[in-house]
Amino acid sequence: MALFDSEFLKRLEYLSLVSRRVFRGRLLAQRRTKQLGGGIEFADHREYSPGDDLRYLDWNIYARYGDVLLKRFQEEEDLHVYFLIDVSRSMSHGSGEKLDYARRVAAALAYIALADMDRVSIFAYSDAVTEVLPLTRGKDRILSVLRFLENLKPSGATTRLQAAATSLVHRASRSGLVIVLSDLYDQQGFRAGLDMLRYRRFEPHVIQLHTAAEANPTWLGDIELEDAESGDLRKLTITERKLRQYRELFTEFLESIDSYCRMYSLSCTRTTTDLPFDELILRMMRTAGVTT
Amino acid sequence: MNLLEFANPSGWWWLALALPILLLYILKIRLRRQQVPTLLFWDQLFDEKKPRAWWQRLRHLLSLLLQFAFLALVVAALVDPLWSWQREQARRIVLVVDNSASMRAAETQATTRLDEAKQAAGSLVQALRSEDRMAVLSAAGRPEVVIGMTDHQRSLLDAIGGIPATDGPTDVAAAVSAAERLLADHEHGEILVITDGCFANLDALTANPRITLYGVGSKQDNVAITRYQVRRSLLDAVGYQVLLDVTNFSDSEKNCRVELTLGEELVDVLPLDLKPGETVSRFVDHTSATGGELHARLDVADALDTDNHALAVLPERKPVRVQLVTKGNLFLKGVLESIPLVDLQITSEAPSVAPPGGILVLDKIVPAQLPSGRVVVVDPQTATDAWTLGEPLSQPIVAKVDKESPLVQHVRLDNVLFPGARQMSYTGEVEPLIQDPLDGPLFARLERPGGDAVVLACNLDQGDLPLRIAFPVLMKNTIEWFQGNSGELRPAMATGEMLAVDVSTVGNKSLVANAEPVEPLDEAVEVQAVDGAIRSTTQAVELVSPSQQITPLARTGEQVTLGPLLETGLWTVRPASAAVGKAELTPTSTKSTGDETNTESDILIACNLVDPAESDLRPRGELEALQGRSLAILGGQSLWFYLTLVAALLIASEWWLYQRRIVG
Repeated sequence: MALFDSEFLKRLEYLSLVSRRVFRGRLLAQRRTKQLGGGIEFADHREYSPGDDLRYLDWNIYARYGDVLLKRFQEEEDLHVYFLIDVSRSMSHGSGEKLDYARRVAAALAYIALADMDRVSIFAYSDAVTEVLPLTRGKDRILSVLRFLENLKPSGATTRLQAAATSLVHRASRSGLVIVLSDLYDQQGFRAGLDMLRYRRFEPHVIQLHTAAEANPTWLGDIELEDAESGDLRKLTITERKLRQYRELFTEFLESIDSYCRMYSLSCTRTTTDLPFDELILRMMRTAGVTT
Repeated sequence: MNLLEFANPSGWWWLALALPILLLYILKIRLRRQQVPTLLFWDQLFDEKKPRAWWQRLRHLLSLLLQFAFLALVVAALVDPLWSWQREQARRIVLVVDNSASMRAAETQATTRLDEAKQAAGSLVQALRSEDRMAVLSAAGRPEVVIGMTDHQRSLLDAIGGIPATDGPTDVAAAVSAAERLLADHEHGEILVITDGCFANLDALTANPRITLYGVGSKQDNVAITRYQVRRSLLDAVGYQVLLDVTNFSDSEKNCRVELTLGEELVDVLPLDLKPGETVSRFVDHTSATGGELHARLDVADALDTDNHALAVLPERKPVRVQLVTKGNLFLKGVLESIPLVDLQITSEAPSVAPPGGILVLDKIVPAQLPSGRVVVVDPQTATDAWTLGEPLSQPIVAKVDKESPLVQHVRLDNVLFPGARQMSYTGEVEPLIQDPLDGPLFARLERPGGDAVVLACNLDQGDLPLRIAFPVLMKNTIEWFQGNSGELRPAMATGEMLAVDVSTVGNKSLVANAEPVEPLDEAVEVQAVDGAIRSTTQAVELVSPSQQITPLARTGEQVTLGPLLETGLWTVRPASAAVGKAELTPTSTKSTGDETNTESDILIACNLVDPAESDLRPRGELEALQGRSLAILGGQSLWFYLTLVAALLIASEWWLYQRRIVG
């Protein structure tokens, strides 16, 4: 079955309809993107300064109270939404379900953003940024977005979110939302990459993906484990006790992601690939309160 | 001599399984490769300890050795090794299981002593070695071989499971004697007795080195009816007296009561305070013409229920219709009226037949054709078809009395004259009961197909016979003889007792209902015996137990011998049905008779457990506990049993250590 079939596109349309200004709303940064200036929506007043355009003087207040105040308006501005998609081999481990899932989620969110006239750019990365979809705008660009996502291939011997973040902040013309879709199995640690984005005033949103088998492996006995990215081998004897320890360690890892995001007021979503991607999107929307 | 022999040497072929085990082992130690998305977590887990230490490499070898050991033990069990001493010391064991009444005592709510005994017997059977043989005997009443010598454990267990609970007395001595005969002089013969020890001669058995007694059951309190008999009152024809003994077989005082009921009617309630070991006797007088089953129920909850109730049969006393044909004999009228339960009717014309079920008394007036039925003739003045009259006797004094006959029982005729007596020549069979010096019958019984007749040749108006005690006694005997034993009490039996019963009246309705000719009951039937031979025997009555089990009774003559009866309750002797009459001559042929009822001619026998030895549930002596013996016998199990046990233990250890990854 194709990654983005007609059924998928129908679901995207549905998600677009049920969402109300997701990115400009409270989904990610929990605040509106504001730019005061020329617009039609009144924002507030300020003291008149010489040289100000008299067209924006509030003559009614002047007539009533004698105060010289200048009206300010909220300027409508499109939002830049960047996707950082992990295409390392850990994401395509097994049947590649994590990568497929990440691409579907990215496609859905990109569709919603494009439908809201926001700008979308996609960065695929493993040990570095491997492919980039430049900023694009308009709902009619969704096909090129889908094509780009469909052509993504697993690559790289490691995962380095920091390198990808560095590359993104250098290439991005403006700050904006950065949606990181990854399993975060980063040998250097995922924190450095997210810190880089925060320092440059980007608003990172983390979507951590893993499979149920990764969280709860069932192998017992003597076994040779192979790292999907580096190809390293480990000869281990796995006992029930070790399996329990592994589960505890994995749970700690997931909790460390939550605690990091909570500490820096970042939004974070953790999911397994068992959950249908549209369910995930709706769940995110419900959490943000943009839909019911 | 080989120390070890193998019952199944072909089992060694199973050792070939070692090859596949080795192959599987080689396959097992090859590592599986599993791709994981990252080694981050596994490296953290194993960074403190180097995996696969040197000793861990040996654990696979240990696993292989355990599996080889398992295979070796299983193969060793299959070839069934047998020590030479086991073969030489093959035992012959007779297991005596006590299934007497005391073994019915409840040990828990769900189990009795017999259940415990069967369980213990089962463990003894399972401890048999391959060369051993065992027979099983039951020891209640008459010892019975439950199963003969066999080494088939399944059959032994089935036979033990089928040992019935009885109400009979313990007769371990007889069972042991039978066991001795079964063992004969076998060198390794043993007699194992499983009992609760509730019998008297315990010490005599323990002295025999061949006998081992195993005890089951614990000390239990019990209150029991230890005697229960009923007899007719000597003063009242419809009265009866009950003798009841209740014993407290416990170490504490007991308060209870006994309820006596006759059918549905409550006769009496006797409150009893019983000291430890005390026996209290009570007498109860009561009257009843209707009769029925007289129950005594002890209102106490104890371990043994069988001895808390007892039963006696009180036959119905029916009035007998007596028709007196006389011109006015006050002596005769007065005597007959004084006999209890006589319904007297006086007429002057002699009928052609006696009243149905009744007695016709002819005083002087005798028709030419003697009426059929039961007839008493006093002072006959004319000849009939049954006799002819001769000259009057010159010396009508009593010279000879047949004291064996019930008709003249308790009759004293010293210096009594029979005036008016005449010489009589009888045409049929006659039994002279009182004779004159010339052997002329003064009082005689005539045997007739239509009913016996009794003739008293004496003019009551002339002599002093009516003034003697002998006259009413003679008439009472005559009336009661015609009645037969109807209404007489039969003493209640104790379980385990034997009893000879007169079955001549069983099924004989004419004696009690009408005067029609009696059908001969002794019907010769051909019976196929168990061995296939055809025998001709007389089998016309059957015995029905309280639980409605039927046993055909082979009668010889008028008596059958019953017993030992091993069940309390009401036993019935009745005419055999056709189906039972042609049944195989097996010891007990049974069929259900739940819908059948007793008839008047059936003989009812009450059977009670009135045995202090069975009711006393306190063991008389020290008996060996079976648990210790079980362990001792366990040492004599076949070797394969232990090999299999060890093999199972090994494979369980291997699974636990390796499958559950305890090792590694």
